[in-house]
Formats: sequence, C-alpha cells, structure tokens
Amino acid sequence: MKKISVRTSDGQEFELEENLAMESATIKTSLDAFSRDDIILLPNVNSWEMVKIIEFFTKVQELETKFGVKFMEKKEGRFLEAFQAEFDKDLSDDNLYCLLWTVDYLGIEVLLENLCHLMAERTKNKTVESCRNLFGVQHDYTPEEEAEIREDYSWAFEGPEIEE
Amino acid sequence: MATAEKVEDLPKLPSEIIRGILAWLPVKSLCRFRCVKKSWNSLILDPHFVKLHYDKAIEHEDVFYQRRRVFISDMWTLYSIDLDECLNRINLDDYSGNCVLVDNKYLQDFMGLVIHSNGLLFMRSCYHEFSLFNPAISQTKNLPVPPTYDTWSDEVCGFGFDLSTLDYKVVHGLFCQDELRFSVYSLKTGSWRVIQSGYPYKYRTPAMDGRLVNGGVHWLVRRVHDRSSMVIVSFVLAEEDVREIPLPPDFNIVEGEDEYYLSVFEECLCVGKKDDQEFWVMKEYGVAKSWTKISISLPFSEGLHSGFVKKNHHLLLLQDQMQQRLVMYNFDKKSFRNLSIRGIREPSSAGFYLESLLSPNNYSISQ
Repeated sequence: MKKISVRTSDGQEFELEENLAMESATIKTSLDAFSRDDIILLPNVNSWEMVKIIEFFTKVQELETKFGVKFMEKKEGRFLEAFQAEFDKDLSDDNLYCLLWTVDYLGIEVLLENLCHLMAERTKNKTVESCRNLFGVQHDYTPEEEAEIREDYSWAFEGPEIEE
Repeated sequence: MATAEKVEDLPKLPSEIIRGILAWLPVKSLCRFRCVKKSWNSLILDPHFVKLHYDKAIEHEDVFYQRRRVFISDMWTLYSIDLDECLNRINLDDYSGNCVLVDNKYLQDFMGLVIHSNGLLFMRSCYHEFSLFNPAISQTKNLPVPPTYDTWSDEVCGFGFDLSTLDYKVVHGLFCQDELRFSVYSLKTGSWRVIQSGYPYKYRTPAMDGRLVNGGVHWLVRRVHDRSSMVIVSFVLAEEDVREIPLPPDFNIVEGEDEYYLSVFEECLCVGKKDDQEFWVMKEYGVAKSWTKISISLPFSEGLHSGFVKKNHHLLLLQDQMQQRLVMYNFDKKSFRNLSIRGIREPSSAGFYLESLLSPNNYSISQ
C-alpha cells in the first residue's frame, strides 16, 4: 500500500496510507496535481490535529475489520458511542473547534459528521453567552430585540440542564 | 494536550458547518440560540434547515429517542411526557417494582381528538374548532371550518403529511344521504378543497379519527349497498381519492359497528372486536393474506396502540369496562407494567410526536 507523506505547520512529517489520505478532498486535489512522491505541505494543519486524524482512521479500520461494515464507503458517520467519548475526552472546547475547522479544511466528510455531533453535544446545554464564546461570535442584537426573543421563548432559557 | 490558538484568532467556521452542528441540537437549545446572533436566527428559521433538523431524527435512532414525546389527554387537558427519558433510567423487565411513574408537562386545555404526523399535531376540539399545533415551540394555527361540515351529520376526520407534495393535509368527511363526501385542507395553500366524488359508505365505528398508515387515512365503515358488510376505507393523501382495504377473511361482522375498532399496531393496520382478547394486524399493507392474529393476555374491551415502542414494550391505552389505563406491554413475554402519570387519572387518548421546529403559521412560505 502506497504511503503519502504530509508535513504539518510545525514541520512534523506523517505518513498516511494512500487510500486514507484520499479521504481528504484537499489532499486528493494536491495528489492529482502533483507527484505522489512529493511531500504534501499542510500549513493550516497542526501536528496534534494530524495525530487525532490518524487516530480516527486507525479506529475506523479496526471497527471495519471487527464489524465488517465499510464505514467510509457508506458515509456511515456515527460510530460506537464509546469511541466518540474516548476520542474527544482530552480535547477542550477550543481544541474541538480547531479540529473541526481543520477537518473541514481538509475535506474529510466522515470525520466532519462525527465532529459536528461531538460539538453539538458540547453546545446543547450552554447558555447564549457561553455559546457565543465557544464559536467566537459577536452578538449583534439590540437589547430590546434580544429581550423579545427571551420573553417569547422564556421556557427555553430555564431548566436544570443548562450549564452556568 | 494541544496548545490551540485562541478561537478569536482562527477564521470562523463556515455556515455549512454551523448548520451541521445545529441540526443535531434539541429544539429547546435551538430556540435559545436564536439569540446568539442574527445570522443564527435566520439559519434556525430557514425551512431547509427545519427539514434538515427534522430528518436527523429519522436518520439517527438516538436522535429519534431524544426528540420523541408521548402526548396524553385526559378529557380536559393535553399533556406531553418524555417517556424515553424515564425508561432510560429504569429496568422495564423488573416486575418487582410498582407501576412506572412519570411526570407530565402541561401543553394546553383541550377537549377533543389529537392526531400526530411529521412533527405537527392536528386537533379537533369538541367545540368544532380545527387547529394545527406544534407542542415543541407552542405554536398554533387555527384552521377554517371545513366546507363539508354539518352539525347534524356524522363525520370523520384525519391528518397526515403527504410525502409526494411535502404538504400537511387535513381530511374531513361527512356521511350525508348514503354518501361519504370529503374535503381536504392543505397547509401550503391554507384552504379547503371539496372532493367532487361521493363514496357509498354509511356508518363508521365509534372513532372519528382516521388512522394514518402508508400515506392513507383509514376508517372502518359499512357499505351502503351491502348492509351486512364492513370494509376499511383509505383516503389516499397523494391522490386525494379513496380505496378499499379488505378485512381479515375470517373476521366475521355479526354485531353493530359500535362493537369494532380500527387501530394501528407497529405501523400496520389493526382491527378488533371489543372484549376479544385478540386483534388482527395487517403485516403487509393491502395484502389480505397478511392479516395475522395477535393475542393479549390482559382484559380489555378496546385497545389503542399509541405507536410508542421501547425495549420491546408497547405503550397501550386499554379500556376495561369503564376504566382506561396505560400499560407497557411486552407481546413476546406476555408481560406488562402499568404506567401512571402524575396528575392524570383517566387518560382518554395517547400517541407520540417528534419535537420539531416546524411552524404551522409559516409553512406556506417554505419549500
């Protein structure tokens, strides 16, 4: 199996099996344009992100062998919950945000679906303010406009599950 | 482990990714996050997103269970309960416990019938008011009275989402002078349309509300020209026309129509005679040979399957003489648990719905 070499923003090099590397639309485009023997430069990708991506691919292969389901081909995004819980255990909210951005940049659809789901789990019980912090968005409502929504949907702002 | 850059220093996530994340969220979170930013508000209200969000529950079982709610009415009030959440915490098969106790959530004062399809509830009150209601966001749309309406004659009504036109339709029928005449309401057009043909049916079983199965709304009726025979009629939502569905071959109609009932079991049509300990299920839609008898070892005169099934237990509303009760019944083991809902003594109807962002008042502008 042919290996493809990539170099991340901090100068580290990684080897990926060709078929897995091709799961990234961005890498695939580069490979189609240039020789497979060249190292692909990924200035927008950190080494720790590459480590997580390789961890994901490794786990997919394990599960495919174990369950005989072609997760990649079927675009079957959802894995066993246990894997998901392990995968993002050591990632902070900011880490997850960065990883999500990178995986979108690399165009790895299957992993993207999983990360969106993980991000949703992190987001669902947040208050409006902490949600804004997490996504780095500025609020653009006037106080009156925001108050109106809060009043119309007051039940959505109350509940024991909402994190402080 | 990782030293990430500050989120403010990173380029923003593209809107397709934001959509991809928000589509997994519960309705409650999304209603709250309308405040986050104006672009998020537009996204959440966009009909294409509403559909994407709804479809997540159809495509992913865990999302389906998170968003499913049971609605129960007790003659005067409509409530919703999060039965999935309650059942996640208990062991249904442990019969040493007492009946399962669940908290209720008040929806609205209501007396009448309720039918669910695709995230919306159709409600027909005893005061002859027709409306569409989304309990997840508390939005109601009052509907005009059907043109086929007449206080003196027997009627039928039904509701369903028509996949062929992506439209919600309400069906109203009137038995008048040996004919069953229909009119149909379309949520997209916001108006009723009278169906020109009349159909030769005269009486129906006590339940006025049609059973939605396979794209058609069904009632059990008696033919005009053959007083001894009953048949299931289906108003097909896509064609807006009627077809007949045969009853089980050895299902003998010897009593008056008040003695029979039509229900839905595991998404299949089901018929029974009151006080029998069994009923028939049409396992393959439209195929007479597929009618299969199922027995139930509880005394009951008439049963209604709510459509809610979890861990092999079916939520049934059983009438036993004058008493109505809710039961979680396991047909394989022939065992059951009683279900008791705080504040509801006599449940009169039960069904389930999926929480959605669908706005009955804004549907005509979408899709």
